[in-house]
Amino acid sequence: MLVSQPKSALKRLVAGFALGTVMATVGTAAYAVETDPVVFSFATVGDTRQDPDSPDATQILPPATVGGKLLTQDKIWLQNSKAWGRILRSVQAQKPKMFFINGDMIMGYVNPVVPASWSTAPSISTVVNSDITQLYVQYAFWRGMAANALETGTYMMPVPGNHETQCKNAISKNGVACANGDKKSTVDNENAFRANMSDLIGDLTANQRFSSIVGKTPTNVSGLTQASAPQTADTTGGTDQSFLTYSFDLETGGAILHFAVINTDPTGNDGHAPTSWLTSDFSAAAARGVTAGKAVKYFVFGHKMAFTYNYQASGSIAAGGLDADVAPRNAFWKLMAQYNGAYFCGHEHTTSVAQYADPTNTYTSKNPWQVLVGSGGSPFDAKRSCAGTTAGGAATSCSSEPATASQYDRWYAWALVKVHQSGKVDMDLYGFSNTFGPTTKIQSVANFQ
Amino acid sequence: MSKQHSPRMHRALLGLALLASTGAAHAALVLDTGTPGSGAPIMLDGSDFAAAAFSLADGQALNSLQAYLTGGTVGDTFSVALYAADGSGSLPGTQIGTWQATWNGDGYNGVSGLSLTGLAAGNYWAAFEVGTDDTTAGLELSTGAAGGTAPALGYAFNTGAAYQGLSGTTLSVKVDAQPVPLPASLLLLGSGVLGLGGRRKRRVAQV
Repeated sequence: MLVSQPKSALKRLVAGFALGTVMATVGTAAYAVETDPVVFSFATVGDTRQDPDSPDATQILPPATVGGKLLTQDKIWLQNSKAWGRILRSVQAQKPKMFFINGDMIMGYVNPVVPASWSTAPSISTVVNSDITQLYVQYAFWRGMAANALETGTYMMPVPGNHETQCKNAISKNGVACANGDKKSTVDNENAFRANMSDLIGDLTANQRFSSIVGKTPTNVSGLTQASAPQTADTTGGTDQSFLTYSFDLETGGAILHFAVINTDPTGNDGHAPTSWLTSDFSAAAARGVTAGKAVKYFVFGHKMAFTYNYQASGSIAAGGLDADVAPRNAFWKLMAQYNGAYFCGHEHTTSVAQYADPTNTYTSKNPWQVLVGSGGSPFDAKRSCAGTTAGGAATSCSSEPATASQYDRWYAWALVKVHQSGKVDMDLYGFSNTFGPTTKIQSVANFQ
Repeated sequence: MSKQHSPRMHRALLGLALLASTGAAHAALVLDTGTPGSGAPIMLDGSDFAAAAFSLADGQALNSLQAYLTGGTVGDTFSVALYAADGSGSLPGTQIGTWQATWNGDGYNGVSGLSLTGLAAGNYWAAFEVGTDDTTAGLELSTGAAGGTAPALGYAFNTGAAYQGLSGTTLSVKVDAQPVPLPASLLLLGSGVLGLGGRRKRRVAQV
């Protein structure tokens, strides 16, 4: 009993010391200095557009919400806004200086001309639903989604894809046949790309905000005039490719970074890279490197892949990119091997990072990387098979995930390239599953360039 | 003689031993998910957070909250937060506190030297986040941890809207706690009280 009295007092004292107030102090630690810091970084992805007719099964909402269809917003403006919006947020958080979008930002595929029937005053509905209105609306929605990135320090650089430059009769609603045949690029579509994207590209020289966002001033800008841009046929006498194919330098401490954006579906020469123009362009950049005494890193951004990636677990796949015409593709890749360039592309709605040897065996010391990131939100090429339809036209049942070559073939993914002070370049691939799980680092390539 | 004083001595020694053992309490891992795995890491950045749940007993003080983080820039900061479990117990609920931490290199990084008292027994979440004041452009949180001494009660991730359950993998996280420490002065006070008690009992016995 006598002993228990101090115990009770002690209990009260202890309780007093441990009152419900949460208090903490945090220790500090010394840390080492980064020896080769990252001095510049850029991200890249492609194919953010939605498909109103054949979206991925995972994008179909339950019948209880919108009748088993796409989110209404995405059905109207044709973006995969959930996937693309999240990619944008994550890339902004990673704070790259630039973000290259490798084509097919919009559904497009329309015929943006004024139909002859409009000589009599068209109805509002006719105007609103016309190809040209729909095309500009799609561009505007995409630009709106991307606008905030520039406010948080990441400059958006657009790359034309076949959905921007081509016309498809089955998509066009204005009753006028595509000028150059079905699923072929047109000058009208190229003009629409310029009208909606050239302010971003033109700021390489106008510099209203480029340098303040990127922290560097571009030099040796080429391709913003008809004289400096390639022609459609990659020689002379074709159509103007200004603002569709262009290049510029950014200088870092250890290297000159040479960026070339190419239109792989120019009017009159769909599915081809402007290799002749690139040959001169790379040669000039190499000379600048010699003058500056710095290594030149060549980064090329186009829509169509040079090597089609087979995402299937078994079986073959038809060549669907630049490799559909082998000889010109080989010439393009030979040039890439000569300069050890890296090619970032889309078109296939999946992701693959791989090295490919010069098919001509001319330059064998390096196998250039092809970074395929057509995984920005468009329906995955590896599809679930769906069957049955509801009264509203939606599938009633879809199979489980298809067998694929890689576990990441149905992930939304993007690449982040980091340039170090020494000039060393690393590349990381990030993404998240089609069930929108956590953002994951999928692949890492040190000494990428 | 010794037999006569034995009960009193026993009680005094026991009391001192209890006080001494409390004052010099050993830290214990209340969350230890084990050796970092080789799975693809998940990202911590301004729009990607992760958390792991653990249980705390009554009277325990939190010392450190750490995760196995790689891929950062030395000196960059991130945030460590402590949440109470939500009503369902399966996700982070109310935030209790948040602390800024510095990434020092590949390995366990977080906050240590905490002396976080007053936490009721229950389930909590250690969360690793990147706030607007933090400088990191991305850290990689190791997945596939195994062989830990105190496995997590659950995992969660947050991509901007809210925390949601994470299944199919484990994260490399450690939380260290110990019984609420008693100040040295309290130990002295206790000794004095016991001494006074013993003296009073002897006086009563003499009367």
